[in-house]
Formats: sequence, structure tokens, C-alpha cells
Amino acid sequence: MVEGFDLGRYIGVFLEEVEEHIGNLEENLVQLERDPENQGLVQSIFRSFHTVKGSSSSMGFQRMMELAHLMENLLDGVRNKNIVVTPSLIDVLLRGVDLLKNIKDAVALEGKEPEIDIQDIVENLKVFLKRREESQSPLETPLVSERKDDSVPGEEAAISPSQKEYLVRVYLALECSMKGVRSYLVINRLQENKVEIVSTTPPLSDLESERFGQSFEIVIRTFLSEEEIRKMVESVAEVERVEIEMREETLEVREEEKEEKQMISTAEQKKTAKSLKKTVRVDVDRLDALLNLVGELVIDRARLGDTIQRLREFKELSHLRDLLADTNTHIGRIINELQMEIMKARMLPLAEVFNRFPRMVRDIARNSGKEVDFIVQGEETELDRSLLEEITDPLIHLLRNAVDHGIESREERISRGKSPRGKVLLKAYQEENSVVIMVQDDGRGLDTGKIRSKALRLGLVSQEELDKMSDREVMEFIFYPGFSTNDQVTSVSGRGVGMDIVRRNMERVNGQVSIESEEGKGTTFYLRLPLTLAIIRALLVKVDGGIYSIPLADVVEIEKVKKENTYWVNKTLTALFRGRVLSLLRLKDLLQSKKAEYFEGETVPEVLYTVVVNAARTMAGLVVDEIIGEQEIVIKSLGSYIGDVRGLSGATILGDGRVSLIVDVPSLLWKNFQMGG
Amino acid sequence: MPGRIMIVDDAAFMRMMLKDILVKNGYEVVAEASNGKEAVLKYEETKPDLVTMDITMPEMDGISAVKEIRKKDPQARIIMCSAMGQQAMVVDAIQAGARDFVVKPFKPDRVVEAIKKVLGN
Repeated sequence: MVEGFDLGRYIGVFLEEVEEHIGNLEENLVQLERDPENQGLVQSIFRSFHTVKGSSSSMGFQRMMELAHLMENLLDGVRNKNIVVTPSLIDVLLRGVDLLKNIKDAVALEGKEPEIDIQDIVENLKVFLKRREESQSPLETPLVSERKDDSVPGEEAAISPSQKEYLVRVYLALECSMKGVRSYLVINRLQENKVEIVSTTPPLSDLESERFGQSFEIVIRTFLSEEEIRKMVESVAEVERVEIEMREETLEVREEEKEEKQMISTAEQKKTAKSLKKTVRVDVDRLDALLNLVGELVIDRARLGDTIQRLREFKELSHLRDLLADTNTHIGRIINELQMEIMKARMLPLAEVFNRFPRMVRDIARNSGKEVDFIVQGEETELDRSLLEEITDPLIHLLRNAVDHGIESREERISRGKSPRGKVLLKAYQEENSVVIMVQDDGRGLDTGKIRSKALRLGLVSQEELDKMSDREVMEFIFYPGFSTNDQVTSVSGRGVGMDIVRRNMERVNGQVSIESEEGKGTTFYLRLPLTLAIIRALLVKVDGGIYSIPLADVVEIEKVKKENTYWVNKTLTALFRGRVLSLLRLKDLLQSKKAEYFEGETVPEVLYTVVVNAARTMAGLVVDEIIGEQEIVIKSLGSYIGDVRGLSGATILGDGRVSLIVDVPSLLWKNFQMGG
Repeated sequence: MPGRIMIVDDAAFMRMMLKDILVKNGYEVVAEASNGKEAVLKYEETKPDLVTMDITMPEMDGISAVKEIRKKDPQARIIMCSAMGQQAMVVDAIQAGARDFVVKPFKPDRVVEAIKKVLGN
């Protein structure tokens, strides 16, 4: 009947909580460095260490507990103004947090604490604690005892028998079942003995629904002594340990003040209870399956629409047709909503990714001896979770480059008349159906002169072509594979490192990257991402009898170009589009990997139906046979047996049941470009 | 510490198991009852130091029995024996005056711990 100790039941919650605390710690420590006087931050950091200490000791993870304990003590010193916040203190604390994270990761993998050596960092932490001890007068409490002390409350009580406020921390036995009722029993026991409950952490509602780990805290107010309280709480079964701390403010509070306080605390409790939304964990696969089903619905609706169109021929059925059309519109609206809801369920706030960056930027800046203010905005913007994974690496690249190469050294900045601290801004916002993420630095900017000469040297362009290119277009060269990885272009800031990968990652998810840069002023990268991957709006065109879908994201405009408005430039056919010279390319030939330009001497039709596209740093006019219209399409992969077809990104099923291939514009243009177009 | 205990449970098997645990740990089982009504009667007869009380029972359930017993003896010490998922009923029982609870399946040391703590009060 005796069950073995089942670690598995708690380890999930434990790891989740610790991870959350580690995330908060990183963020708050970095912030503390900038704002050392912020007591709220100090408190919150202290609490995180404290909680990690408590739960890791409950789980029996000694190293983790020791680390957290030491750091908690350090923070206690900061709180009492015995330890000063310095960058080196933050360094050590961050390293400690790293170690916590390593241990946590290992626990997650192996289910037990790894044999990591923590002595090094422990010594480091102790150095800071020592300093604190030395700075203290000998009369003050030694740092080892965490609680203020045990004797004072009794003495004080003897002097004035006033109510005192205590923080009671109750640790439940590990295999304790019905923790909720257990905590209720503890609180009930206290109340029975006329102990006033001020507040609980977590709030009562969470205690009741067992949303807490192995321990919880109660703030109480009472005439009773610490010992009496301890006995009372320990008389409840499955209470393993009780820690009692006297609160700073010994309370001889007047009634109204007390009431006020209580009101605040209950109001706060209510607020937290309200903000805790009810959630259900769902497997991502299930959401994918749902989205797929909605995709099928979209296709069926298109078929229905098609059938309704065909009913036009039967005049006598016109009112039935109208009814059907109404219903179809309604179904369409519902499908849209359904699709939006499922998409939302798949969305996660960018904070998931952004949160780790302050720490990273700080480390890079410190390593390169630069001073950088890192500002994050719009982290609440949401994005499909699969996209979130795709943008992480690109963002790391961009931020690293911004600090490493974009921001100048302090001296250089001063000599240029800039503020000595550099600024890096990471900002996200939604714009129509896409999310834009901006990485901006106020550093030296891109040196287009150097990019030009490099592009020429690498043979990417001819001098003639280069002369026609604007600075904006020239900047696009940094996205070429291996463009500026060598040190000769250091003043271009080596931004080529991984830039092609950034672009490739973006294009893989139908996203785009663009740059704006001004020499001496700074550089801004824009990552533009679709909200979802599965359903897109596309332009349907007819080419050689087949229907193709061109993602609307790539389409700039549709033009009917008359033959007399075309020109021969460099022996190929071009047209003017808003003042820009545009090459006209036959989509049919592009798809077959043939030369797609019209060469001088070829017959050109009287009217060219042209889809102006902008992708892969090229603008071009795709000539098609017929333009059918715009439609929402569901992307279906071509399947593994066909594999990765260059120029096509998938297929979709149209209303009439026909299959339409989806054109991958960037790769088509890129291919044509490589063929020497 | 001597302890005279009454076991209340409608399942003979459970009573037997509890009795084994208790006797092994030096307690004396002075009465057994298989429902609430019987429990109330036997409590008056034997005046045990402590009662282990099952919740779900025929005739009279454990919570009503707690209320009845406490009405007659406000000092009565009762530990509830709950199955998983009976949170709400345990809370009711505590409000009715039960001092503590143990959850089935019983772990002997938990049962003993609870009894010790309640008697030690």
C-alpha cells in the first residue's frame, strides 16, 4: 500500500516554475544594473531566489538550493543597503543564474541533479557576502541567519503586548495529497485560535485549486508568540516544516489603518484572481489538425461558390440560388472567424523570444566594452508559434551585429558628437496582416561605397549596372551568401555574417527583410512576417492553360502593358513602372527554367498582362496569359515524394476542384538572376 | 502515548487494514463501526481518544456523524479518511469539526503521523 516517492508528479511544475523564475531573474538583474536604487526590483529578485531555494530544497536538489540560498543572501544585503549593486556583482549573479539554468536543464533531461561543480561560483558569491560582513558593525546580525533572530520577539512582547505581524511559510510533505484542503486546514487551525490572516501567497483561490508548489506563505497578525504559532501549524499532518519571520513593522496599528491595509490586500487578491485566466493546455498538433480542417472548409466553400455561379444558367432556380448564396456568405464569415480563432490559439507573445535578449545584449556590450541602452517595445505582439522559432536566430544575428559592429566605441561616438551610450531598439508591431519586427541601432550605418566596391570585386555586378543602382539597392548586396564575411569590410561592420541566412529564414516563412541605413546615423532592419503560414491570399493567373497562384505578399501591382509602352534596354524588353525601369519576364519560361526575357527581335504581343512583383531584392514584371482574380488559398505541401521544387512553394485546390500550383516568386527571380539575367 | 481509537468505515477490509496499522504502532482499537449511526452510538459507549472516520457510508455519512459526535462531545478528535477527489467533503468535515484528514490509499506513516499530531494537541 505504501507508494514510492513519485518525483515525476512534481518535477514538471517544479521545472516550469524554476524556468519562469530564471527568466525573470535575468531580466530583472539586467534592469537592476541600470536602476540600482529600484527597491521593487530588488524585492522581486530576492523573492525569485527565495522561491527557487525553497522548491529546490523540497525536491532535494542540493546544489541548486545552495546557489539560490547564497544569492538570496546577497540580495538581502542589497535590500538592507549593505551590498552595493555594481556591474561585477551583477556579473556574478548572472553567472549564478546561468548555473541554476544548467542544473535545471540537466534535471529536465536526466531527472536528477547533475554532478556539476559549483564551487567556483560559490566562492565568488561568498566574496561579495564577505565584503558585506566586513562593512557591517559587529553588533549586526550575521548573514548566515536568514531570519532576523529568535529572541527579540519574545523580549519585545514582554515590553508591550501588542499584535505582531509574522510571515509564516508552510512546507508540505512531498507526497502530500489534497494540498488545497491541507492549506485550508492550516489556515482554519490558525483562525480557530484567533489568529488574523492578513494575506496568503499565492492568493486563497490558488491555494484552494492547488496552484502552488510544496510551500505557501501566510501573513498573520497575532498576540501569540512565534513558538505558539509554530506548534499550531505543525499540529497539522503532512506539514513538514514551518518557517516564521517577524515582519519589519511591529504593529500597533490603529483600527482604521488596519482595515485599510486589509482592504488593499483583498483588492489585490481579487485582482490577481481575475487576471488569472482559465487555460487549457492543448497539443500543438491538435491545433495544426484543426487549422488543416478549416483549410478543407475554405476549399469546400470555394467549391460551393463555384456551384452557385453555375446555377446562374437556371433562371427558374434563381431564388434558391440567392438563398444558397446568402448561406454561403454566412458560412464564409464563420469560417473566417473560426480560422482567426484557431490562429489566435496558436499565437504566442513575442516576449517569449524577446525576454532573453536584454541579457544577451548586455553581455555582448560588456564584452566589447561598449555602452548600450537596449530598448524593447511591443513584446506583447503575438505571432504564430512556429514563426517564433524561425525568427529567433535571425534576431540574434541582427542584435549581435548591431552591438558588435553597428554601435561605435565610446571614444568614436564622442568624437563624432554622438552621445557616448549607443542605443539599440527592438520593436514589434502589427501592420495589417503581418507583424513587423524592427532592429534599430544608432551606430555608424552601412558604408555603401565599400559595399559597391566589394560587389564589383566579387563580380556580382558590372560597373555599368552598379552605376545605375541606388544606395538602397546596393545595400541589398549584404544579403548575398558570404558577402562581407572578411575583415576588409570591417567598416561595413561585417554585417554579412549570416545575413544571407537571415534572409533565407525569412523567405522560408513567406517573410521579408529590408534595410534602411544612413552612414553615421545608424541602421534599421525590418523583418516582416505573415500572421499565419497555412492560408494566404493569392492572385490567380493563367499560364499556358494552367492556373497558378502568386502570393499577394509578393505582388505590387497588376498592369496591362501595351506594346507601344515597352522599350528595349540592353536588348531585353522593359516597361516603365512608376518611373522605374522594369524587366518583363515570361512566367511560363521562368517556371520551366528557361530564359524568360523577351530579346530584341522576338515577337511581342500587343498587350502584356503583367504582374509586378517585388521579392528577393528584385522588382520585375511577370507576364502571364490571363489574370483570373484574387482568392484565399490553403497551402498544401507538394508532398515528400515530389520534394522541394524550386520555384514552387506548394499547391492548392481551387473551387472547381482543379489544382493550382503556388509560385515561389523569390526563388524564381533568384534563379533567373543566377542564370545571368 | 496511549491511545484508544475507534475505526469507522463501511468496508471491513479498510477497517482491518487500519486496525493493523494502529495496533502495530501501539494503539488500542476500542471500537469499530460500519456506518455513521453506529459510530455515534459506539462513541458514547466507549469514549475513545480519537476516531478515524470514513466519509462515504450508508445510513449516516461521515460528515453527519462528525456533527453528531461533536454536538455531544465538543472535544472529540476526529480524523477523516478521504478518497482522492473528495476535497469538498473534507472541507465540510473540517468545518464540522474534524481535526485532520488522511487520503486513501493509506500510507501507514501518514496515518500514524496524523494520529500523533491530533492526539498531541
